[in-house]
Amino acid sequence: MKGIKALIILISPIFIGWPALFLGAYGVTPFMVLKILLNETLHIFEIGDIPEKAIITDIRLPRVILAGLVGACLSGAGVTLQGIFRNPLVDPFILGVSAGAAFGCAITIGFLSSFPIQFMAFIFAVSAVVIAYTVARTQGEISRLPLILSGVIVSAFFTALVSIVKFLVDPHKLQSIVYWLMGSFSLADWRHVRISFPFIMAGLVPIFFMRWRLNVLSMGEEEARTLGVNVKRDRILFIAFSTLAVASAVSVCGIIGWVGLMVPHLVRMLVGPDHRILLPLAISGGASFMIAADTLSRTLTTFDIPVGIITALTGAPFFIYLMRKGGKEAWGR
Amino acid sequence: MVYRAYIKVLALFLSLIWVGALDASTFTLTDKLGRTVTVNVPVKRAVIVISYELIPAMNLWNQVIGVSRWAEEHCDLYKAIVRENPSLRKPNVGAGSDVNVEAVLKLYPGLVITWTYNPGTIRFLEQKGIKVIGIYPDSLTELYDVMRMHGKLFGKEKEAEEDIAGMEKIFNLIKKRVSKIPPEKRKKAIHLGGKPTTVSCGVGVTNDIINIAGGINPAGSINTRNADVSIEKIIQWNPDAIFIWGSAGYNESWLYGNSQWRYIKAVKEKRVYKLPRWSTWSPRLAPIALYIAMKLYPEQFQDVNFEEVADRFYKKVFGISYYKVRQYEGY
Amino acid sequence: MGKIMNLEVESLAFRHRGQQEDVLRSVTFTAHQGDVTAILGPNGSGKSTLFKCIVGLWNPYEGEIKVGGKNPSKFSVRERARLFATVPQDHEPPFPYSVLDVVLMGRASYVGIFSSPKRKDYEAAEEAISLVGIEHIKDKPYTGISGGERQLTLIARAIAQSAPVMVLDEPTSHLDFRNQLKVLSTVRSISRERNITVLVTLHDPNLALLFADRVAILKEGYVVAEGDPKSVITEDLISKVYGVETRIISSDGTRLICPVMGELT
Repeated sequence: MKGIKALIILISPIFIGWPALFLGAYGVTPFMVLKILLNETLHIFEIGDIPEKAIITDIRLPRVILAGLVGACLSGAGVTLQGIFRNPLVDPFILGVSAGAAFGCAITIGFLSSFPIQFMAFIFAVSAVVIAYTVARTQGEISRLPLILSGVIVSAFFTALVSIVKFLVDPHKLQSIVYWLMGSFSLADWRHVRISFPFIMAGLVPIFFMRWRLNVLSMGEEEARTLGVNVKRDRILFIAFSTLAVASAVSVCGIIGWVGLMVPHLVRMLVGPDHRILLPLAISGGASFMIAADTLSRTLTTFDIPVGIITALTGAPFFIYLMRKGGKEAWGR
Repeated sequence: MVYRAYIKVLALFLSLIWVGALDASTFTLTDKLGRTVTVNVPVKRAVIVISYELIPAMNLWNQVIGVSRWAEEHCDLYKAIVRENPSLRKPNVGAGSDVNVEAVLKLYPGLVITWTYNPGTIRFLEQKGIKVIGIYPDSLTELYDVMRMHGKLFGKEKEAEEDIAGMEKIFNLIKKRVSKIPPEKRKKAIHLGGKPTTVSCGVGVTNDIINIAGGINPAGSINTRNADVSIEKIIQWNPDAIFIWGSAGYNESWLYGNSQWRYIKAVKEKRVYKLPRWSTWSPRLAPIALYIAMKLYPEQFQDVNFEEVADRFYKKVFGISYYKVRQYEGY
Repeated sequence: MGKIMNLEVESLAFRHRGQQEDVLRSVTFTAHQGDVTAILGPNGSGKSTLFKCIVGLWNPYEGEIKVGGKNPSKFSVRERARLFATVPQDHEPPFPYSVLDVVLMGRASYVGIFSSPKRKDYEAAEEAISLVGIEHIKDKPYTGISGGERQLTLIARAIAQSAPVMVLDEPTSHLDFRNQLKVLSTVRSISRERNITVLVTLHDPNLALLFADRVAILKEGYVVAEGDPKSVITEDLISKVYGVETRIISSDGTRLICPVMGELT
């Protein structure tokens, strides 16, 4: 039973992503979709240069892929940080990644328009975490609570800076900043996929291989140390890799909340806390969830609903339902 | 008996004078937020936060004591006039989206006219005993109402009517030319806002002027001011022309360079235009409409020189030359 | 064959950073391979501190620790874990790992950073589980079993570490009467079966009398007595160290300490 559940979650991105290619405001017949995809990959079925081709290959396909990548990344990082901080209520933005990215975006749109937004968002996202980590070093030792606290402080600091920028810029730039921060895939294209894929992989792949160690680390620092784990080194590695991936994701699509908190938690409730199974399933679960949310956001009404609203509205009730059903076991206590 | 009749007539006469006098000195209106506001007119000391283009339009310089920062920083019209005549410059009370209440209070205004973007600010000013009127014209008719209201408030009804007449003149010119176009030949046009996927929909002055210019706004059936749509939707609409908000952070070349937009007729035929950076809540809405109409149906306006029409309009309405103001447009 | 893996502690001294007082003043004793050595002492005598120094969590500023003649102070975390298997006091982890998963964590020092446990790690874990006698709960969540079973799981984990020295920190403090006896009896049989050096800190001298082969009594940072519990634990010693009047009673060869109630009231 458990194995079947796990398998379903593992391959879910495919059976959620596939139909997503068929859905959209511009009606493309399923037959045509297949033709176009086959034409792209196997170069059969001559199609010619028609709008439907652009819709499928330039708009829907990169959007679905990007949504999957970002969802996988946020969820994977969420699992990692929840394990490191031994707390299922941690989200991937806790160390300041999103606040740093927001500031990078704001200051670029506001004052440094010659720099590319994604690059600046990425740089500041990573810097925020580095600052948080450095601030938390007391007497050469870093433990969980100071790290979380300094993450909160750094987030608050950068958020305040963003407010200052918002106050100083003219209203049109202000609107651009607000839109960017809201997080959406409506302008997703292949360029976004190209620039984020390598960094997201560079972050998630090492974490995937290291995932069993999250089990040990989550037992506690002293205990992990006596079991033979170099806590300081492993923790830096996990934080570095997840920051790399999340910074990259946030820099291409803005800040999308809830996914990194909820999906790890949901998957843990369904398949247990062993990170060897939890991490890959949370990654594919996150990809599916985000693709589903984005598809809903662009097909429910004529206009695009911001995807963060969808993730909150659909995820929260389901989460509550699972919690009530699971009761005590849901929290593992 | 004659005596009693005489008293009655006198009483009636006096009461008419009294009512007339009352009527001449206060004005009660309902603002965009539904608040009832009663003001002593003509207003002598007002702060205008968003409708600052009406200051030159109705010559309100002596009655306005403060404007928002946006007038000085983003309004070429205001900048040009104040540069010519530095004594006209008004103190600023903060950004249009974030009025500094203390700065407002310091000026002891009799009235603040602002937009309803932040109802909290309006309530706050009210609590401090300042009269506030909130505006947000969502159509051309509403804009006229707002202009007339400004006229009534400042005792400049004549100027308001003149400005409206000037606008109508341009609108009539447009209507005359485009009415000749049969419905099947009408062009589809969309207006993009802060993001390339944010379109102006059925509510708002932008929709009205697209219609006046003889265009069809495919997003007009959506009953809001703006909506974020997917690129697919825009491709589906396949507009003949695309107009970009004058203050957007991107311009035509962004659309031309983006392969996702290449199938849209407007992009294919290079009919994407960024509007001039003018406020649309102002008499300048008329020349913007003309601009749109001329881009949509150039063949109908071959004999019309946009800049000359604009210059005549500017001189009549604002008292300053179009060419002079244009120098200040790039900011 | 193989070295004798005795644990020798010599003149160990420790104080917390910034403090004036030593917690451990000069601790010297030896724990022999195959024996269960108990550290006894009242609260504040330094038992937990000694425990932390031995396993390498804290650094003593003086003295030496040797295992099999070698000083492990320069060992890496991984090498240390292959030497010392630690059984901490019971605690609740944040996530409900299965008993098997918890025992498997004992293999962390043998699993590479980018790897997961392999078959030989599973074999070591299964073997430890059956040695301790908890096969019947191996797939149950760690948070859903009793305190005694949890302590046994931690002991199995320590066995899976395949280390020559096992150090237990007050393993009986949260357990009921029966489980206290069960856990310590398991520990003793393991020390024999695997021929490992076992060091246990205990608060109850009677448990030492029942299960320890050797005992070291700690008071105010010094080892005040060391040796066979039967000869070391006397009424006199208890009085000096714990400040309690007692009588040693014997029943079927089992010695127990009985407090004199009159003196207490």
